[in-house]
Amino acid sequence: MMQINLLTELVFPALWILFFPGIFFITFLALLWEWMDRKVYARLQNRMGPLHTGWRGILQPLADFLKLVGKEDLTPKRADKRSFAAVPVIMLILSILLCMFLPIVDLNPAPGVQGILSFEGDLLIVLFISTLMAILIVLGGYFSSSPYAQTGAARTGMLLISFEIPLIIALITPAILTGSLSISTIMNTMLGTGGGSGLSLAYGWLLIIPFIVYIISLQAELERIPFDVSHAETEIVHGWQVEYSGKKLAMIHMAEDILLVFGAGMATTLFLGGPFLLELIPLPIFQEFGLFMASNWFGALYYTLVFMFKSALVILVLANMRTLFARWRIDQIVRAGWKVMVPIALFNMLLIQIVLNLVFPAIGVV
Amino acid sequence: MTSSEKRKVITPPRVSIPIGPQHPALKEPGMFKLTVEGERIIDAEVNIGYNHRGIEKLAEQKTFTQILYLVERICGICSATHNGNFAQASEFAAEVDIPDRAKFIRTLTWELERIHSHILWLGVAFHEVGFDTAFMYTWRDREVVMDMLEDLSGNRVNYAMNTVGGVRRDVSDDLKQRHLKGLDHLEERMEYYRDTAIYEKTFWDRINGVGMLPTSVAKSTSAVGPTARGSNVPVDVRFNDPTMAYVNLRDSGEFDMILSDRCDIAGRAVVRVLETIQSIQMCRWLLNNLPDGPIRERVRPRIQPNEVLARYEAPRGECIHYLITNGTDKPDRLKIRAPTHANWVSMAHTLRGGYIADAPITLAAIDPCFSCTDRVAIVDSKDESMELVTLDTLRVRANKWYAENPRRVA
Amino acid sequence: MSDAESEIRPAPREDQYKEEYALFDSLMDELSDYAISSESYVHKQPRRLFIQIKPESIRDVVQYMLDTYDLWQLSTLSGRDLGDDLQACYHFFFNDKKIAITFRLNVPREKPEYPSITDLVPAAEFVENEIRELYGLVPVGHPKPRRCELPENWPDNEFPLRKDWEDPRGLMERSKTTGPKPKEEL
Repeated sequence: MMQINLLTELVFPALWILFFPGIFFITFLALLWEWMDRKVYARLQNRMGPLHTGWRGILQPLADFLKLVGKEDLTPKRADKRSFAAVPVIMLILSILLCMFLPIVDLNPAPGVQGILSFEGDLLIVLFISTLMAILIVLGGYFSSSPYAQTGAARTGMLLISFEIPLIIALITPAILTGSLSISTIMNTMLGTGGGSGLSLAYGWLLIIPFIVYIISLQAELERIPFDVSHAETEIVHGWQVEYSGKKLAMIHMAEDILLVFGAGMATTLFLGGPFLLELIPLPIFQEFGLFMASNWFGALYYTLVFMFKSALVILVLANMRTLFARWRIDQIVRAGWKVMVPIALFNMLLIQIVLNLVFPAIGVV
Repeated sequence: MTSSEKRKVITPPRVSIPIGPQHPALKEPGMFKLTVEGERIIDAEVNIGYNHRGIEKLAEQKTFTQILYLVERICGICSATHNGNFAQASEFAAEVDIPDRAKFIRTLTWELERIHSHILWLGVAFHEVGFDTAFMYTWRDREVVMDMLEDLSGNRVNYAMNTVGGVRRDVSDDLKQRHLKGLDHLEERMEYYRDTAIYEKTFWDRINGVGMLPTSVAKSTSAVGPTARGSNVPVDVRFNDPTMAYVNLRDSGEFDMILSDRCDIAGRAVVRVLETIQSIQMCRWLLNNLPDGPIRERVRPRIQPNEVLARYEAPRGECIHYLITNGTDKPDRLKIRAPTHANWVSMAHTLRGGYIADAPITLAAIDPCFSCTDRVAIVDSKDESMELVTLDTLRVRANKWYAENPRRVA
Repeated sequence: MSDAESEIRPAPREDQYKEEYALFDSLMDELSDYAISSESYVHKQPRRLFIQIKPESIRDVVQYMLDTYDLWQLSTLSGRDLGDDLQACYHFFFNDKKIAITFRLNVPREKPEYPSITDLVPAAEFVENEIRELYGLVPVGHPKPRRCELPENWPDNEFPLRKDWEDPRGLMERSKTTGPKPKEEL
């Protein structure tokens, strides 16, 4: 009796957190998405991209990571040494923690999928941590006490105040629609996968603008072109990362990749229907298929593949955006943030309230 | 209520940011010391000399033919510039008139080089503002003109096409056809890049109204080349002081100097892109009107005492070779003024008042061409001061540091 | 110096050089106080004027040319070692008439000083610094005198482009790359 309890209560959850949708799987996804991002970016630029490590260079991100781990680790003399070393570690831990909230697969045989961590209000925690990441970048820049790094840190701060707000507003729109603050609950309620019938398809139209706002803000949050001002290599060398090297840089890169997984995963979960695909078709046979998958070991594979497929689509969109634009100047970014993105996001909130309270009751949408 | 006297204006602290000698935005060493307040550049100082190789001194000890290949090594991008300009300086000094066909082929090399140099600049400009896709595309298409140059001269860089008295290789009919085909392709691509540069909003926003160089300042600082022409200053040696086949090109009436009155980086970019298209048309005209005849004239190795000022419009501006001969086979004095040297003063002006983010594109806008470092800038993080340290001192300091701090074993 | 005389190759007064001679004659007339007419001439190469002036009058000449002719383009400044004298050549380009004018001035080797024109023509800042380093020709009154071409540890009394510079540290010898290096250097 004791042993069975040990297995189900300790070993399975431990494996759950460490291996399968947990740390190992997330790291794997991070390296895979980095490879995909680089490859798509390269092919769109008429280059080959990673080529020699593994099948079409698929192991290149791993090789880069291992190489960086083996490199000499330097700390500037004037840097605040302990804080300087702490930033990459905390970044990595927080980014992994963020990914724990993504509902991919769960142990529970009941319909619907929960994240590894899931409780009422976790959306707020996620938003809080994602803001904390930007603050960590600012700290990392200031602790290294180099003019380049400090300029990069100042720019990150500017980026933070201009694009964090649209991001938050975009992410809480699904919460307003479903009336819940738990990521997993929001997803299951919207799709009707956690029991119940789910929201009407009419609600889907309301999510289009927040989705676009989210994708653009995500690009800014991840500091990719056209928002890569904080580590613009031609201007301030490598911005806030300029003094980091060796293991610390490896950790920072890994944290950035994991954030990419998280960003694409949030888009998948809140806007694209999470790890469900066939169940969403309103035919009895697919409903049964959904129940079968939810109760079966086989479902884990299916959910994972669907999740990866949808995230990959988001990565493709992000890689395309990265290809299409030149880098903006920081003043242009702040202007775009406050004159375009924030008004659009606020206007959308207003629109949703009007539609929910006046239009839907009038046309009879439940 | 506080009175207006008590109002406190908070300005960010002034920080010195060195750009260079080694910096990702610079392809070659040079030092630009920027004093910034926040993101604004208050003052800029240009420091050059990292690449002084003593070529002028060396030239006094070499024969004219040797110098041809020596001056070619001044710059990899504009090697035909110095090579051709020195060849024409020697010819002026010897007072020989070279065959028309040689003039046309020399001009063709120069114009092909201008195409390749301007496309290179466009790619670099895209890269400086983070538009890597366009950078990759432009450099891919630059390969076309590089292949054409290889076809013409046998080399991708350092063409060694000119000799004192003419050119070394002839243009065959086959080669002419291949070149005309390549020029068609290039023209089509350049029109596409012209539209990309003008209509891609993120790129245009970065160059529009940035790095202003008013016409009066451009004149007083004697800016040259596309930098000046982007500020509406009509300086173009090809039209003002033509030599070689530029006389024929000017007399054909089909070509005119390209000017822009925008005075910013966008103006310089537009001038360069339009000039590339004009150069393509010039090359086509040269190939179609290529006269028959010999390609070189014999010139005696000893050149009579003479002094000449040979000028040529290099891709970056006016290149000057001031040659004094003394009746031997070696020159008495050779002064070389590469175009970038004339643009430093104006560049310090364009940097002031801009953003740090605009510094790389402002630096790149004059298409600087400078390359071997002999000193290092050290920034003291305590008081943000900067000192220039010579290589020897640095080596002594490094040795001392390593003696005091034995190598850590990881 | 005999070489210097034979370098002067004046153009014949023909139709081809009409414009050059028109400008040359008027300049020699207007600048008669400053110019030395025996060494000024129109060169055979088209569109080139060489005018020898008295060293102390360079500022007056440049000021006069700026005011009267708007001669704004200073192409470059080149130095030359003539033996007893050092020579500085200011190469201007006259954009309106498309003629290059070179103002030359000789200063004695013992006291190679002449007034700077950087405050009149800002473009001269770098070239005047350069000539001071390489020839020891001192433009007096230069607003920003500093090293720009030579290394920082270069001795102050050595001017490498002078003909009598003897390369005391064997730099020219060391820079030669012909032939294999001696074994002890490998």
